[in-house]
Amino acid sequence: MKMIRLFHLMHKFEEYNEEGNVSGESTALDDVSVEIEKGSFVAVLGHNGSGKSTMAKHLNSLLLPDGGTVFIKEYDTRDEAHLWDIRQTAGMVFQNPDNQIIANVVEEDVAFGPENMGVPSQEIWKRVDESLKKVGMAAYRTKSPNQLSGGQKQRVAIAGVMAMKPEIIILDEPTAMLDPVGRMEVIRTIHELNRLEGITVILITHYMEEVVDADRVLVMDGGKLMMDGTPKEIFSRAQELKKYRLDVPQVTELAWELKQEGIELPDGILTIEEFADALCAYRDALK
Amino acid sequence: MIKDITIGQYYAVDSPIHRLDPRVKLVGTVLFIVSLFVAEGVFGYLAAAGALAFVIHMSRVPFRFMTRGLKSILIIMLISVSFNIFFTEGTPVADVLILRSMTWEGLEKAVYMAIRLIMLILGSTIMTLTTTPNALTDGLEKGLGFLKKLHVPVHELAMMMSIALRFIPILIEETDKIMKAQTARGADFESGGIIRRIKAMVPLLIPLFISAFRRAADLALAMEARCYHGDANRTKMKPLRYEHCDRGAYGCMAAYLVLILILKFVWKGWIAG
Ligand SMILES: Nc1ncnc2c1ncn2[C@@H]1O[C@H](COP(=O)(O)OP(=O)(O)OP(=O)(O)O)[C@@H](O)[C@H]1O
Ligand SMILES: [Mg+2]
Repeated sequence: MKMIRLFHLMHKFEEYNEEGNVSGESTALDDVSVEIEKGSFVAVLGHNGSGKSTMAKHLNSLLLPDGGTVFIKEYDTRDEAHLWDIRQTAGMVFQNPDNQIIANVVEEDVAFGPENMGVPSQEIWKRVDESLKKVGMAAYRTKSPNQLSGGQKQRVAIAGVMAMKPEIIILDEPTAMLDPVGRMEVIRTIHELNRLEGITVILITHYMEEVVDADRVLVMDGGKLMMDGTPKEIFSRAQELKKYRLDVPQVTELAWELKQEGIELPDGILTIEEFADALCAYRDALK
Repeated sequence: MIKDITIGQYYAVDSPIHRLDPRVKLVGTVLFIVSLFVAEGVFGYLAAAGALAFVIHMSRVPFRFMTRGLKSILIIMLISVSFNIFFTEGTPVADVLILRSMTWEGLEKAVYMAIRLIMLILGSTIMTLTTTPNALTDGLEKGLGFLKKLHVPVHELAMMMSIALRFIPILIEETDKIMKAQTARGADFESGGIIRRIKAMVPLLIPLFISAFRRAADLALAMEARCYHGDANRTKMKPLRYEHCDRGAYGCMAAYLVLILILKFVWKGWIAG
């Protein structure tokens, strides 16, 4: 089943001059069409200003199309009657952990979404328990968010979305402000939710290492969808990625450089393990 | 450090007073303050003091925490007490020097005034010591719910209050950071006269405001993404509900008020008779 369908999505932002009058338009999304399968883990890459966040906001009805259509399951995002269904189905996690936690106590923040949806109190308690367990934050439920690390805050934010029982989670650079440990915690949590709960994940990121485990990678540039494929396919096209001002993971780069020097390694090596295996195979072949 | 400041002054222990519904405590505090102005005569004040002592004892908060609040009003108290002593008409205390302008009536009034002020501060301190800011916000939202009929945005105000509580420590920390960053660039916040210091605050306030607005925009987006749309059809994870002890507390308050009124009339009759 397709969870998300974008048809020729266009988005324009008005530009203002110094007097505050509209001086022109900039196209943030230009004819983007893509369909995303239920349960898949999709990573979105792109240089700054390529339109990733703008696209993410369209998946939650936070922005509406200037052209084309967006469907979340069977709901058109322009259909106001289903606004709350759309926002419940497609949850959003943002970059700054501090600016998306609303309540002063962890458990009350997780409850914020269900409260807005009008879920009865007892059911809210159940959902809060479950969601905090799923992200491994149950021990912190009565703490103040200010006492948590960045990674923990981000996991609370994810729990807050999970408590709304979404089918899709869209994460807009959730690890950009975290230290390596926090990043690992968050990425592991997202993968678990994808694998165990069957949640469809859209992960926007600048870290190539977070992309290699995705099912599918989308590359955006200048508001257009430029590349679409598995991580292996995408990272084999290192030259093309460079054109969009993107890097490949460091091991992939290293393997590619070695290959240029005449060492025969396969294309699209993504992890250190793969790289080690390929090197061993190469050594054995030399003997 | 600067970010360790806590808001409010909640004293975390478990006590019957802590467990009371915040609405009960709000109503109780207001009633107590009113009763202080209604009460008259020695017995009235004794009754008020007795009730206060009882609640303080029940709250299990050490007494020295209560008296902290008193320090801040010491000056106000001194001023109002001396005004009363010197500017009340009546019989002078004695015919020497300064005592000539003091009156017995003034002294009596001043003593009552001081007692009243002290009890007023203690009474309202108990509420903030035993109620978390969150619970207080919830209590205000629900307790003032009837104002919605008059189009007072009670829910929105409560939401703003609770968001402010969440962000004040974050903004304080940020101020600290910006201050250090500006100091590293040669800004000087500590020396000079008051005008200079205020001027020095400008490079501190501008980044702080910009960041606060950005945070507000982010937060609004995050709230919208989580289906926030005011209090229409909103439920609560922890709805406020009166328990037996809350009803008991209301009963005690009613009894206390009646007692104060009776004592007042008895006292008046006694004076007249
Ligand atoms: N609110 C806005 N008003 C005007 N222009 C905007 C607005 N938001 C984004 N843009 C413009 O739209 C384009 C796409 O922005 P978007 O935020 O989607 O990029 P992004 O891929 O998320 O970038 P980043 O990696 O920096 O987060 C940019 O050129 C940006 O300047
Ligand atoms: Mg972005």
